[in-house]
Amino acid sequence: MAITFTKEPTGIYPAYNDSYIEFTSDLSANTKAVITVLGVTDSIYTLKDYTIYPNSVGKYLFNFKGIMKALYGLQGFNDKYSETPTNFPVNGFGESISGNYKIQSFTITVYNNFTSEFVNKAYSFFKSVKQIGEAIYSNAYQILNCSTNGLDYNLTYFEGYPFAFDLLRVQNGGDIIIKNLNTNITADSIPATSTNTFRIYVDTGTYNWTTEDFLPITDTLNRLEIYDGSSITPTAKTNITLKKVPSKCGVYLKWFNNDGGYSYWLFDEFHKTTLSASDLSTVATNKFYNVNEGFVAPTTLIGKRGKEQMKLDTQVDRNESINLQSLFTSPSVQMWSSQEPFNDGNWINVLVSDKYELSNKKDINKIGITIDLPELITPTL
Amino acid sequence: MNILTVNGYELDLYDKALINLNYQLNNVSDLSTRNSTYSNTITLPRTSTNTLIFESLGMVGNISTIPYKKVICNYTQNDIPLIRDGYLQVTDTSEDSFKVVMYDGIVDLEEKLKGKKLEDLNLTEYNHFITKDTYTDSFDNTSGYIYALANYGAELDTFNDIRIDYQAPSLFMHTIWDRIFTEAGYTYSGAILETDDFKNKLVTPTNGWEVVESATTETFLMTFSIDELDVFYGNNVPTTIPYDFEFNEDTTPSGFTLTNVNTITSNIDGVLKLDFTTTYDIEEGELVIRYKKNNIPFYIGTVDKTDTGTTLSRTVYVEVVSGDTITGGLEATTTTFDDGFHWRLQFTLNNTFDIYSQSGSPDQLIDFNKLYSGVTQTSFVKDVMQHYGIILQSEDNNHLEFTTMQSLLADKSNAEEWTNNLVEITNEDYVLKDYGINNYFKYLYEKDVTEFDYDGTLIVNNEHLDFEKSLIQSNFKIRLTSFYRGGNLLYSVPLWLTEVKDLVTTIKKQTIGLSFFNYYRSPETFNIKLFSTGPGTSYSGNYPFLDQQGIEYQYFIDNYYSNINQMLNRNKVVTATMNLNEIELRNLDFFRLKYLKQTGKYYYLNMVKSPSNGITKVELVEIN
Repeated sequence: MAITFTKEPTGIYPAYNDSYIEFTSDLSANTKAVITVLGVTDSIYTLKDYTIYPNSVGKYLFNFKGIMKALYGLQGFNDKYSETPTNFPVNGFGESISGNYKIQSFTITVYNNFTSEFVNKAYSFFKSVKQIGEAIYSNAYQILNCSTNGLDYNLTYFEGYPFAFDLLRVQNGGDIIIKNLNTNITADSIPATSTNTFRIYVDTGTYNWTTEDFLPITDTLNRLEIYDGSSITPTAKTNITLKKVPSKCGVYLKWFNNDGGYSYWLFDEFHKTTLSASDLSTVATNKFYNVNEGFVAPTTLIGKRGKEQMKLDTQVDRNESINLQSLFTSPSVQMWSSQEPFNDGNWINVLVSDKYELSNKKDINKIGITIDLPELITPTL
Repeated sequence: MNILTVNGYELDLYDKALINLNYQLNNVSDLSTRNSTYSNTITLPRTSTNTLIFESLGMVGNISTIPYKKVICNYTQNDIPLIRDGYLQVTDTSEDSFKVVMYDGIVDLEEKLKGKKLEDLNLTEYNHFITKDTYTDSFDNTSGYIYALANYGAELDTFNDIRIDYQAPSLFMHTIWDRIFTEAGYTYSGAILETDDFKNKLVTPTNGWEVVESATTETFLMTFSIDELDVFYGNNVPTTIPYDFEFNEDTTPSGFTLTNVNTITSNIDGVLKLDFTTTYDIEEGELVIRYKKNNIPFYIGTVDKTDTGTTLSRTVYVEVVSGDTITGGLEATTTTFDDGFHWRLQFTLNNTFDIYSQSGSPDQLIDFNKLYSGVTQTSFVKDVMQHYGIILQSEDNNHLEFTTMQSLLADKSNAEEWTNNLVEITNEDYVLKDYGINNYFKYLYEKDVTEFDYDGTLIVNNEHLDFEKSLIQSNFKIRLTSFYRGGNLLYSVPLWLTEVKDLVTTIKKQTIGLSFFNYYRSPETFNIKLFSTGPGTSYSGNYPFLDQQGIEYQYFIDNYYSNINQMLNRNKVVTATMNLNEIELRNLDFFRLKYLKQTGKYYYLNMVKSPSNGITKVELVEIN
């Protein structure tokens, strides 16, 4: 007896896309299949089984997308890590992080009226989505940002503001080495302590590669090569062209991008802020005064509701414009609380509205967005 | 900020989700506390969190049972809990949302009583063998049972003799009431429950029994005692701690074996008499002592520090078969001596019980669980509530508060001042639903009865209503009158049927419906006789008699529905908007009238609709 699969997700699969399995079983007169999700220890609720029935030719079809979406969704899309290494300087400017790369195991059990057979399966996912026409890259060292080939990346880094990027998967025991091809300087290796996504920190907002002499980078384009110095995956590598923008004031945004990582951008320092307020209901004052006892307004306001909006502008080149695109469809956008570089701050959730318009005729495009800040806290009756 | 949790997990809500809570007073006799507070249909986003909390509801292949269960929920609005231990119903799932409704069933009373009957109550402590002493000793009872004179159908009495083996004990209505709620896990209070009118009612059995004409004799078997409990415990929160008794054989074992230190096993079949003697000294604490047969309690005794130093004696009859186990223990609840800062247990307790076997058939035992059958606890409670116009408000910690509409509508001195909360009165509604001009409250009657003299009518002066409507149908049956004894009219409660055929008299037991009576005592002298062979003994005393006077529904209507009647005659339901904050909503008291200076009138609060984002809308019924 055997369960034969004719379709299943391969490689490290984007969790927010359909991930079908299709299978048949040669268990005679089989009537149903039960999918059991294994090993989920961080779920807030016990995951029950899923029961499906075959079609007229005995084929079963199941989509893991709902389950994976639910498992990833528990954490939300806000970054549960910051841009500051947990154990600096011991582990340097990098560490393995959990929550993105996931190996999920399932048991698929097929039943007839008398007996059953089962098979255990494990699939790898990462917290990402692919659009029509986009490819799934096989490079495990790909950076969780947009790329045309999964090997070469263009990122812009604003000095003095928190900045990091993630490698999709680094095996436990791997040794990450970053080499500046411009200067031929190689940074100290950073060990991977688990098989997981690996975050490389560039700037914490107060210190960075240059201030700590980890891997000095210039105020231009820096060509970096990232590879595994251990024998575990000796051929894994990725290339980054890192454009460093010298420190300046501005409004700094961070958002969850479609590739499962986080992107950053510094908008212009000069922006427009709008504060709007609306009345809440009124209530009766119930004073029962006659005319000669003094007039009192018959109603009083309960309070007001207020909100603040900021209109931001920036200019982007062709590569940057592609990176910025995901800002407009991101489920999580945050604003750095400080508009000056090299200041402590924290991330504030904001909402983005406006449309993204781009002309591919121009090398530099001007982009404008409107962000809504959290509703103001106002005193009320 | 609003928080909705289900089974302890916090659900995701849409920003500024509109959650309207509707608060409503229960109708008379409504046991369904779930109608006290319920929400509008709330739309929840189909986020991962919500999906997983609902057991993957909406996902392909899911086997979630959430839509078919009452899921425990709590709702907090602006940090004030408005629904605690309520439940949530998922009504449907769409592509991007779930729709749910919340109910505040702090305790769903009707659910707890569902399926239970009067015979499921623990009435073991009232079981006894009929003797002249048990018969006459019951005359002064004001709780438990009483042998009130009636014609129970066995035509054996002579002019002066009363065959007490064919007299039936009746339980006090308030005893049945108490047992129903206590065994469902509630405490309760209410002024109506303390009145003579409530406490003087008796409920006659539904089942006769085979009378076995021979007295039982008892034979001492053995005595058990427990190791003394000497407890001192303190904490800063109220606590209840269980203790299991450890038994000792005080006499030579006979009929019972100490299987282990906590368990006694019976080696015999039959009816046992257990004489319990409990001595105790309590400084702090309340103790509930339970003895169980096969893990089902048959003896429950409660002691606290008000009786400290006294001895509690109780006799219980229980039927056993070989292999049955007896265990015992107590639950000790701390009490506070400094207004809630410290809670303590400080007591010593000793307990012994003598076990006697009873010769004869187990049928000779007057077993109250066999006397009452076929009546659900829910229907009994509802019937009683309907007679007195009782309404129910559930409270925290399994406590129930009862009052009558009559007293609620009259209690202006306790009204709440809502003048400053009124925003505006938007509407007055005069249409009366669910009533007719003549509204009948009916009993059941014996077959062939054509004059329904005990029914009552509540008349509403409103020409727009239907001429008549049957409002209430009681499950209690009115009994026919029988003969006089000593100048006192007896009522016929036919638990037995006497048949004479070929000069042979046969008395058959019967099953009949439930009836309730008043009773009175009259000084009389009769010969009381046990069994046909027993000698008659003259006994002078205050004999209780069943009495149907004062049971007429018109009496209840005139005394407990007159204020409702006045209100219905000039029905005016006022809809107003009120400014009530979350604490005022949390503390809503439907048992207090509301006063508005703007109209100079008192109102009873019928319903409150409170949206999470605005002014509250209330329905007030004007009191005339």
